[in-house]
Amino acid sequence: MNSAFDAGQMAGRLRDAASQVLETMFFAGTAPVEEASPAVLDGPAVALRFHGAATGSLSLATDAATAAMLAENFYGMGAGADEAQNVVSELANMVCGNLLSHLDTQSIFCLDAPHPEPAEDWPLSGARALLQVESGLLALHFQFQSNGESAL
Amino acid sequence: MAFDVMIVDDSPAMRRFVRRVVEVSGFAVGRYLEAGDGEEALAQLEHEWVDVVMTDINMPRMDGEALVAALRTHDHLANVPVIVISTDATDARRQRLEHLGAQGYVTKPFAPETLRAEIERVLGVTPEGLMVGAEPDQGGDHDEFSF
Repeated sequence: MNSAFDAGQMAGRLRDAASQVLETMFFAGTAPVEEASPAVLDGPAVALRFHGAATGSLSLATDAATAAMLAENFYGMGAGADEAQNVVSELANMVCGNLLSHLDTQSIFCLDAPHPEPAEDWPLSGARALLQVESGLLALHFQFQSNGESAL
Repeated sequence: MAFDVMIVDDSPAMRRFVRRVVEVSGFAVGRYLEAGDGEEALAQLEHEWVDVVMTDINMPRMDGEALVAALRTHDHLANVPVIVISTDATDARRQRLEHLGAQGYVTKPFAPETLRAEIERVLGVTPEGLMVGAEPDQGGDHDEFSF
């Protein structure tokens, strides 16, 4: 598993993976945002762990309006808060799988089910990325782990 | 000609999305069956026939790989086509699923036409819904369908 990326390179990969998923499956336009720390995002925040050739985690948070828009695009109709949470979880799953597949095409990973995790709990280490999604924001965090420590 | 489809995914959101994509793509579906994991899928398939199973890989209890393996060794379900729908785009995973007996593989994210094309390829039907090699005036039903 090649984890020889610095945080800046990984942030770019993270943005690319998220943009591809958002544009293809959620029909949402994206643009990179340079700020590293978003304003408080009042919508769903989720995280999932992965195992296999490497272990680590991906976390994702957005604002409530963006979550509702993504759910509506994903389902093709309006959706409630619970459904928006499910859709954001699925988005995190797809972004993580997409990113790992592009980082290493020969290794197999297992992704755990996403679970709610506040963005305030994200570790300081690892790569962070912020995307503008239509008129809202999406924040991402990704890290490899080695013996419980961040390897990125 | 309409086909019966089973969608296996532990994410209700993804099951709903796949169903919507299939509907939007214009593919003719008779019935949709849904299951949250491989065990639930096998239990339903003991009593319900489907023309194609579309399954995720990472699921609790019985994952997609175990489901494909179980179907291939099942007395009555060994020939049911399986399309894997997964975020995992690695060659290693594709080869493993192919070796286990999956006929199709679609990587998320995907466009609706990609999923439809893979369903048609696996089922051996034309975009018009005809069996490959069939004359346009020859319909048929599920009993006449064979792999």
